[in-house]
Parts: sequence; structure tokens; C-alpha cells
Amino acid sequence: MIINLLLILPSWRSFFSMSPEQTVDSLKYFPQVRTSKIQFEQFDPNKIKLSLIRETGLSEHEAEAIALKVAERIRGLGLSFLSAPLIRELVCVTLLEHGFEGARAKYTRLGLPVSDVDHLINIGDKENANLQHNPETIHKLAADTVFDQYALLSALPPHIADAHIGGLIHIHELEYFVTRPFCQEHDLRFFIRRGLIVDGQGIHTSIAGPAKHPEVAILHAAKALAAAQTNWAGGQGYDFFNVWLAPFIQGLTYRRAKQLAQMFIYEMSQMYVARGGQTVFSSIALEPSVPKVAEDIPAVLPGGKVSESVTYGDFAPEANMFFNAIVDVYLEGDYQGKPFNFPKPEVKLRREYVNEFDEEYLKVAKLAAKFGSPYFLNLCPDYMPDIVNSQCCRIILIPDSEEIDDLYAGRIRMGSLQMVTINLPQIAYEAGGNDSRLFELIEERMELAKQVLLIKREIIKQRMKEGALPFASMNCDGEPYLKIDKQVLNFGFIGLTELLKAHTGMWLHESDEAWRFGLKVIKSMSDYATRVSNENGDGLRFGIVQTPAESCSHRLALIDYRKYGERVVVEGDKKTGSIYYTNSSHVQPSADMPLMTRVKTEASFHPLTRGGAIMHVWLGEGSPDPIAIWQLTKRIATQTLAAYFAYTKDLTMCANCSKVSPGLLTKCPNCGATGDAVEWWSRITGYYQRVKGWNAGKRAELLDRRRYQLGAAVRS
Amino acid sequence: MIEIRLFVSPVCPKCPSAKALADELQKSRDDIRIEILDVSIEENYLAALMLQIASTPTFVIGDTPIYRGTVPSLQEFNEKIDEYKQKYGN
Repeated sequence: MIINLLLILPSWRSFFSMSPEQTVDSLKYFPQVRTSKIQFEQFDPNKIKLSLIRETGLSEHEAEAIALKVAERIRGLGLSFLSAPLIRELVCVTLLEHGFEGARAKYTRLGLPVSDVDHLINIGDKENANLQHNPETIHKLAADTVFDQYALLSALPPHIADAHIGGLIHIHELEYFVTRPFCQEHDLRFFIRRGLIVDGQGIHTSIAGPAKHPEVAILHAAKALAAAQTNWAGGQGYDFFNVWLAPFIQGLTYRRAKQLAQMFIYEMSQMYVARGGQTVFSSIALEPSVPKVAEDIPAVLPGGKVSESVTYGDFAPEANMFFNAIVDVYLEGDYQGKPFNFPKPEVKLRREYVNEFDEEYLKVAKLAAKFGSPYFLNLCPDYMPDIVNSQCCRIILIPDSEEIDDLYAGRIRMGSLQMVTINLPQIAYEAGGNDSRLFELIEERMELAKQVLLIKREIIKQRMKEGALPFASMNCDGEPYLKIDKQVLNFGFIGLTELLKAHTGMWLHESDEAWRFGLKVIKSMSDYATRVSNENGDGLRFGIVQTPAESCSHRLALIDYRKYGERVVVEGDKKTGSIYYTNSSHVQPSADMPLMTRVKTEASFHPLTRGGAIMHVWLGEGSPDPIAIWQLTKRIATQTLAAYFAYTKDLTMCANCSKVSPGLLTKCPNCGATGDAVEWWSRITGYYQRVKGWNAGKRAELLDRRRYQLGAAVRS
Repeated sequence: MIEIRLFVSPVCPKCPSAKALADELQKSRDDIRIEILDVSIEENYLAALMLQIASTPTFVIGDTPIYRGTVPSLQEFNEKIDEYKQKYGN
């Protein structure tokens, strides 16, 4: 092939052996090049040759041949000027024409068409409901496109890129695949003891010592999460938030404690700086007191001091007061009465608490009734240990014995490195009703996902070695901050109920047979995760998580509808394309069934998805009764297997009068404003956001949701 | 006839005494039928999840788990059965 190429270039074959004078003379017929360094340069085929050798590994002869072919082409165009990107495109075309597909993939440019940049500037993007349309997000979205392309073209092998593009699997946070781990739970005591180095090195920023005063401790807590967000793609959380800060609350009045709570919550909901103009995706786990499991842990005191004789059990009243103060701040909302979306308050339910702290939980129930803000992490079921971290949208992190030691030593840091979702309905379409084939395909898709997770692990190890994750790789008593060997590698899944409908003819909620088969499907995935965690003896931690499918519920449904046509089982409206798959192992959002039956059906999957789960109760009343919410919460906590759940109340916010009203309204009941002045807010997956930012599939889901009157549900 | 199910696992330390209690109960009453289900068999494990059970031993009367991870005394269990019988009949 290369010989043929050289044969058609007789006049140029000697170019690379010309003298400098001859070279200059021969190039005078070529256009000037606008380079990426924003300057004009004389076109020179030698630069193409050298770059091909350097970037693609072609031999000198092959590179010369391609460079000369491109030169011939350019001379034939008769241009006065051309751009370096255009030359690169011509080189890529020439490489493809001559069978160098692999070299083309390495040599190609990544980027966006002009019209796409126009679109980003003028309209923005709706994939991530957290993104406002502003200069930071325009830059982020442009960069995201480049890194999406890079991940698929360069970081992942073609068969995996094809599996993502074809919707067999969905690789989350693809834009950060080569640069960031996913989410992280931090140990606030580490920053209280050590102070704060926000860049991980102290080179680009100042270094703060251990906080001595409550206000400083609060600011350190807030800034540490913001700093971490520069290195991580997803959620950043603190477990035991009010417990670890309780020593700073000692001797303070309730009013001062509330001021501190306000400081932290405003910091986290106003620092609009993370990942291209977003607030930090933050969460704080709250306990109404100091749980037994933490009572005997030596407390880290103001100034970072630790005394074996002073333990967190000594600060139970302060932890309780701070808990109440934090919940009161959430209840008040911001200056205009709007709810705080971040940090997400994650309230723990423990058997030792549920009958003792009625007053505190009733206050949390009031918050759920008013804004839907709290999430309940339920440690009551027997399968849930006493120490569980939860953060991000639903990630649940269960420590091993070594990490329990870390809890006592004040260095418990856990997280998920990456999540890859398995598209379950597509497997049903491919299996054609054959059970054996269905389970074979599940395993095949999980094997693909496993490959992605292992590649990600190597990439992050490499980034840490290179110093490209300075916060994550900062030195913590001789080990890096990010404990990569302890990170969970998560398999997610979507559309179990659609799989069941396509495979068995029944939705998840329609029969016990369908329910049982659904459990069998997810158990097979859980068994796979356990098996591959143990197979090499290398201690890798694979887990199953219920995917927080913001974008992929819509994306995968669209891909399958295009591929399989009318036989797809999707929710929403096929005519308008507002279609979606139901999240994870949830029953259809529209399923009309008694609330407790719904709860029990969904909760039965939680022991199988111990990497993360969430169950939603969609509230249908304008003013739900907090007592009913607390009664139902206790019932869910003590009688079901639900690990994590939340009550969602739809809200309408008026930009005209700032009034927040319950329900999805088209007219503000306070001032009568309509149109763009009236905005709907609801919980998209694992957090609250403006509905305007949701994709078409999620908007269809919002309208489909079966909402419940709690009074009747509690009595049922 | 009152249906009672006992979910057990081969690795659970309390399960042998739960099984012994089940035997004793079965011998002492003719108005109950006790089925012992080993959760290491997948079908039984899935049935346990559907009943909101994730620990062994767990006794279930009808569809309601009554003792989770604990083994009651014979007397206590008999009272529970009588209570159930009074409420729901045989």
C-alpha cells in the first residue's frame, strides 16, 4: 500500500533529502498555516512526518509517504492560507485511505463543531440538572466533550467504547473518566487534627493549622469539601458530622450553635465554584446523639488535641444540640425561605434511637413535610452494620475490619472509584424469552463493566503517581489520602421492571413470580460482584449499586427505541421521544399500588444492592402531617429491609414574589405570576433541582410519579 | 392450621437452637405446621427477602416475621401462636 502511495508522488519522493535551500524553494507554492500557537508559519511536510512518527508510531518511511501525499493534496487546493486543524484532518483522511486506522485514532483532533460551541454558548446543555447556564459551565461542557471523546477513543478499547455507544452499558461521568475518582466520604477529624491544605501540597495555597475556634472548624469543614471536589467527580460527604464537631459546641448557647450550622449550610450551598460553576455535591450524616459505636472513641478537641480520657460519649448533649440546630436551619430555608439543596442532610435511624429521640425525628419529619430535604439512612435492619457511610446520590459504604480500626483512629476515608450501569431491558430484548440466555448476557455485560472498572483503577493509580490528583494523593501519615485499594468499583443497573415486562410479560409489581424473578436477576449480579471480588485474592471491592440514572434512563431508552423499534418496553411518550427506563429495581413510577406494598417490594432489593440504594416516597399532599411521616418512617425502619429512603415533595418557586408553594403549579398562588416566573423543583434522583434542567425523559417521569396521601398509607 | 416458617442458615450460630425449638413446638401442638427453610438455597433466600427478612434464624407466622435473629422460649412462642390464633383463627 505504501509502495503504491510513493508511486503516485514522483515529484516529491526526494523532498526529505533536499538541502535547506531546495526545501525553502519547493515550499514557496504552499499556503501559510495558521497554527495552534496563534501564528502564521510556512507549510512544511516534515512537520507532518515528525508528528506522525511521534504520535502514532508509524515508521519513518510510512510517515514520509503520508506527509507527501498530504502535501500533494494541499498544493492541489490552491489556497493562500489553511489551518493546522485542517491539515490534521487531511492527514487523518489520508491515513484512513491507506489503512492506518489505528494511527488515525491516535492522530485525530478532539473537539467540537462550531455550531455545537454556538449551542453551548447560546443554550447550554440539559444533561446535568445541577448545571446553570453560565460562563463556567460553558467552558466545562466544552471540556467535557473533549474528555468524553478522549475516554472513548484513547482510554478505553474499541469494544468497550462500542458497548457504551450502543447502550449495552453506560459509563458514568465519562468526562472525568481519565482524571478523577467518583465520590468520597471524608473524615472530618482528619482536618480538625491536621488543619487544612486545600491544594494538597501547600504550594499554591496557604496552609492552615488545626482549628481552635468553632467558626474556623466550620470553615475548614466547608473548604475541605470544596477542595476535594476539585479532585473528585461526584459527591463529597462527611459521616458523623455533628458528632465530630460536638467538642467545638461545648459551652456554646443554642443560638451560637445554630449560627455555626447556618455558616456551614450557607457555605456549602453558596460556594458556586465546583466542577464548572456548580455547588459542591455535598452531604452530611447526622445523628440525634452520639451512637454507642462512637461513644468510646477519643475525641479530637479544638486545636487538634486528642486525649485518651476524653471521648465523644462526653459530648452527647452537644451533638444533640448541634443536630437540632442544623435541622432548624434546614427548616427555615434561606433568606427568602427556599430550601437548601446542598449539603444533603442524611439522618441515621438506629434501633437505639427510634424510641428515644421522637422529638428530634419529628423535627426531621417536619423538614420532610415542608421541603422533602432529608434522607434516611436506616441501620435498623439486621443486615446493616452499625457503621455505614452514605453520600453522593445513594452510595452506601460498608467498612471492612481494617476500616473499623480507621474509625477509631480518625482516618476513615471511603469512596466509590467508578460506576458502570448495565442496561437490563436491552438484555431482555436480546435474550428472546430464554432464561439461560438472559443470565448469560447479564454475565457478559458485567464482564464488560468489570473491564471498565479495572481500567479506571489503573488510570487513577497513574494520575496519583503523576501528581495530577494532588488533594487525593497528599501524604497522610505515610499513605496517600485516597486509599485506592479500598475504593469500591460499582456495577449499576437500570430498568429491572422493563426487563421483567419484556422477558416474562409482567411488570415487577404485577405478580410475586415477577418479583421473585427480579430478585433472582439482581442476585445473579450481586453473586457476580462477590465472585470477582474474591477471584484473584487481590482484595478488589466490587459492589452493586442502584444507578442514580439522571441521564442514562433517557439515553438508554432512546438508543434501544432506535435499535429495537416498537418492541421496546419504555415509559413515557414514544411519539415525542420523552421516554425513559425506570431507575434500577424500582417499580414503575406510575405503578398504582398501596404504599407499604411498594415500599416492601423495593426494599427487598436493598440487601442485594449494598453498594447503594434509594427508595422514594412521592408525597401527594400540600401539607403532609409530620406525625404521619415519622410513624411511617419508623414502620419502614423497623419492618422492612429499606437501607436508604427519602420523601419527595414537589415545590413551585416563584421568581416574582420568592414564595415557595407545594405542588407543581403553573400559577403562583401568592402573586399570580405565570410563565417563566414559576419554576418547578423536585428530586430528580438523589437530590433536588429545578425541573427546567431535567431531560425530556426525566420530565416525563416526574408527571408519571404515583404520589401518596400519607394518612391513608400509615393506616394501611 | 397455622403456617409457621423458620428461615435458617448453615452458618448461623443460633439456628440449631431455633430448629430444636421448632421441633418441640411441632411435637407439642397439632394446630400448627412448621416449615424450615434454608436460605443457602436460592429459592428460600428470595422468599426471605420478599418477607423482609435478611437475618437468621427468623420465625414467620402467616406473612409476618415475628422473631428476627433471636430464639424465644417455648412458652413465649406458644403465647404468640395463641395470640395469633385468637386474632386470625386457624
